[in-house]
Amino acid sequence: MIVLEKEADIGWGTTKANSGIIHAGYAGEAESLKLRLSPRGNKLFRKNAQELDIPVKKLGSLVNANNRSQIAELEKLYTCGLNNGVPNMRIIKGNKKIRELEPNIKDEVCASLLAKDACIVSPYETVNALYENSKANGISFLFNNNVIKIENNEKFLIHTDQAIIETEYIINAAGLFTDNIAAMIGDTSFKIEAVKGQYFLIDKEEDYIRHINFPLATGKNKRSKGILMAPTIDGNILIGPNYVRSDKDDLSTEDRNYREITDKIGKYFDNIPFDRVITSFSGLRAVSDTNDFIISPSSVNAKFINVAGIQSPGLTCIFVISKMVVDMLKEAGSKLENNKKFNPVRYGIKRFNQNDPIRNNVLFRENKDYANIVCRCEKVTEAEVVEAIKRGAGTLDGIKFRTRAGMGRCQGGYCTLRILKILSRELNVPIEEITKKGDGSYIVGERAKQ
Amino acid sequence: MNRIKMDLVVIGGGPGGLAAALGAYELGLKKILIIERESTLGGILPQCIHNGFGLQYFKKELTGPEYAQIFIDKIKNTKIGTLPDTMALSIGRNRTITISGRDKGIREIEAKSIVLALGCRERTRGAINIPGTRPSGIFTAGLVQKMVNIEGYPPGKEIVILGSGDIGLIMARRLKFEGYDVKGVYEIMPFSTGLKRNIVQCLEDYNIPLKLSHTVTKIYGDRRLEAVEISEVGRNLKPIARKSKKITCDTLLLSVGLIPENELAATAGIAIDKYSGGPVVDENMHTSVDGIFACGNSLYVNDLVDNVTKDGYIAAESACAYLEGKIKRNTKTSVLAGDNIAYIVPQRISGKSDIIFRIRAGYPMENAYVKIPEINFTKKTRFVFPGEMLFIKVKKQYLKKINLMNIESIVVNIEQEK
Amino acid sequence: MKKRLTCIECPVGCILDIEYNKSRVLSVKGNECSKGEKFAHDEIIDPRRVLTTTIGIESALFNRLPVRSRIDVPRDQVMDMIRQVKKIKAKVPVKAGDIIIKDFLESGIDIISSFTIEK
Repeated sequence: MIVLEKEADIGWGTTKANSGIIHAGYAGEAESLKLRLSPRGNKLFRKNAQELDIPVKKLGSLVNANNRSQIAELEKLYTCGLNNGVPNMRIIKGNKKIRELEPNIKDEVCASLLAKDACIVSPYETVNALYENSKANGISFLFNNNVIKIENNEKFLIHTDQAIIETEYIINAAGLFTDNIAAMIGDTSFKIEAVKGQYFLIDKEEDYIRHINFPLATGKNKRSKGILMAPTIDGNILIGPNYVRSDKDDLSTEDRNYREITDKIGKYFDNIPFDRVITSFSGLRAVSDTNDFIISPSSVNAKFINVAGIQSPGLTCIFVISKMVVDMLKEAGSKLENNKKFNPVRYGIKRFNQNDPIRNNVLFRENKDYANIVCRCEKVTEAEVVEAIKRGAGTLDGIKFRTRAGMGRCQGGYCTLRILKILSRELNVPIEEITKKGDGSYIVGERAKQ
Repeated sequence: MNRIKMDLVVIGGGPGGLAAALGAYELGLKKILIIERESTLGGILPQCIHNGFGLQYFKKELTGPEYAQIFIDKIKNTKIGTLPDTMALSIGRNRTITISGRDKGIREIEAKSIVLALGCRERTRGAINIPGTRPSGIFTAGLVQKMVNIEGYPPGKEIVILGSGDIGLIMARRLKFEGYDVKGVYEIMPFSTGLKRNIVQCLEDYNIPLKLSHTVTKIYGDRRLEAVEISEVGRNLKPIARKSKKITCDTLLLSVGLIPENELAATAGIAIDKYSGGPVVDENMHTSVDGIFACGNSLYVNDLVDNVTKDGYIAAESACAYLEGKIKRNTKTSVLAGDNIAYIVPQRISGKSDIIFRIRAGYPMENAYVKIPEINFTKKTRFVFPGEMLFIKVKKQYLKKINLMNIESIVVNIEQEK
Repeated sequence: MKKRLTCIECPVGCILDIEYNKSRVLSVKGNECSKGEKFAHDEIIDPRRVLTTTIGIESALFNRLPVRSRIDVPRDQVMDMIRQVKKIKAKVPVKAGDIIIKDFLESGIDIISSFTIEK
């Protein structure tokens, strides 16, 4: 089995800008896959995350109504959740009670739907874990391979810009480009639109916000989950995303998005620490023309499985979706059996920042590089950077998404040169050739000729 | 865990920390330790290869490395301990510092007194919200200075600089010296915040254009920077419609402000002044935690390293006096920043000694007066300018005339003569 | 000929209005002290700057050694001189003040090290 990826590393498409929320499963259009798969997805994710060493925090989510007229809508959402089998939910009425859960909520917020099972995770740590566990179980990955053409004969012949691969089955999980890939075998049954969402990331704040907070979506706004505010698994505050139709290659942030986002979130919260914004970024949702997941064998060839339109709550549902795909492969004739040699356990990189001094000294005694801090904002040590390189990082962003080095308030001011040197040393490559995110994104120019 | 006991721990081996350690040593203090996260002492100075340092303190025109070397050499001739390649992680109760270094791992130091001299970090693109794409090629000016002057790598070939503070001006010239195309320096304010000598010697000498009231409003480029959009701004600092243009470049240097480093201070529960960005201190540079003092750029952003050195010696004097029981932390009268003052240090005064107020003006003003109405103080200063800190001395004898004990706060203002 | 300059001898930064001919300065107006007059003369007749740059060095911690001209050199020659200086490579150990290039280009001015790098 091979995974073909057009970028230089894993998860650099939509995943990079994922909110990192494992939803409880009360939201979605009736009868949609998004709605039906969520509650089971939530349970499976939390279970598998333990084996994969993906940190998960069960913070719970609040859907906030800031007008009495919205309470009926909130109750509809609650009922939807109940009917969908979502446990541990209740509606809280009265600003005072909500304030006990969220001290910085605005006075106008009068009712809220609490769902205790909603969790936060790191989307990059999720793909890191899945990638490493896949590799450990014998799956190969080919990066920097952009699929150009697919010949649909007895078997498929995939042409990328680097290689030609023959295969019997294809799982089309190409995100924004699933429709382009499907079209390569003549399947034009769906279209993917890119819908951009911008986020702001705020520096680590102790106890400003405790849950994942959504605004109650009403009327026209039901397409998206709205502009949320939530703690991240590492203690930052994430605000966003908005919803703007875009092009598949446009990831730019815009000034007017700042105004829109601050405006909208400002209707639910007081004293938002916007003076402590670290960075802003955008992501592109892959929205199908049915606005739902498309998980099905292609009508052109049942051995080509489309996994398309995976927008929110996609991350929540990954383990349910994968089971569905396995079933579809079996239906199409694949002789899949339980792999007795499958090792489901993966251990993440041990992090200095997560440990107390005594545990860190134990790590230090095994490896001195565990006491050499190269990223001062996130307290990432040289040992973690070297381990990240061993696990596949070859770029500055690859290090960033595996260790968090460069994600802090100084945005790489302290660590960039240090990490460049470590990458150069470990990969035996001159610093001039190291990039931020692959092809063309070099960091330094050529050194002065001596 | 390994525990070390010290009379004074200086966190930061830059000019502030070096002066504090030397000052304490010269006053007879015995167990002094400097903790420094880089491999060499000197702080930011070794990468500041240009001249202009020490005009006041040494009456000489030194380069940054030369200035640092003088203090590094002095330290070598003392018994002051140094721990380079060591990061201070946190300060806990009773001034216990947790440190981490490759040599001995994670350890704790019990300090009878501490001087914080951690310097600054640079404001980033993310913090000022420049919209656009996220290619490589966008750097803060200080990072590029290190890249070029210590490592010998250029950041790119066609360079645009945002911010006319000293670092931006110095790097404009430096990159020009290295043979690169410096397209211009853009400054959002209607005045430059850098020293006049730098405007002349860095920009005018080399015909590098300086455009005031302009800023970068968009970034272009998928992998590497390809261009920036520059817009003229109005008095409200917002872009003026239809007054923007796209400039091709592969490198953007940001010189948009320094932020005093106080994450470590926060672990100790030290109160931070949100205006200066540094700890709230009294006239002895005593922070809000007993026995912890602050100096240098982590207390407030300095314009001249000479003042950082002076402040380091003051912090040392205070630490020694504190250890001898001669001074106590003062929380009495608050000093508040009034008209045309961005920030003022110290923020607490007792009136028991002369005070030198360090004042950062908000905007330029001629024929200005510094006024403190609560104590009837007025001083004429002819010309006030944000790029050059104001030092206003108020003598002890003057303060004695007024009973400061009864005054909860004083407001310092800069006003214009009518 | 007339020229307007900002004096940089002290933070005040007086704006100087200078009248001069090819060989000398005729008048200086706008200076508040005598330093301004000297500055004007120097800047017009013989403008000089201290040369600062880095040269290569092989050391464990540094790739470049900061160097400077001991005293200031003619302003208009700085860029060319820098190009020449950069051709030199230094060796450890080097002390601040050590002469890297004696009497550089027969100018009578030494290029010296700004920093001490021991290894």
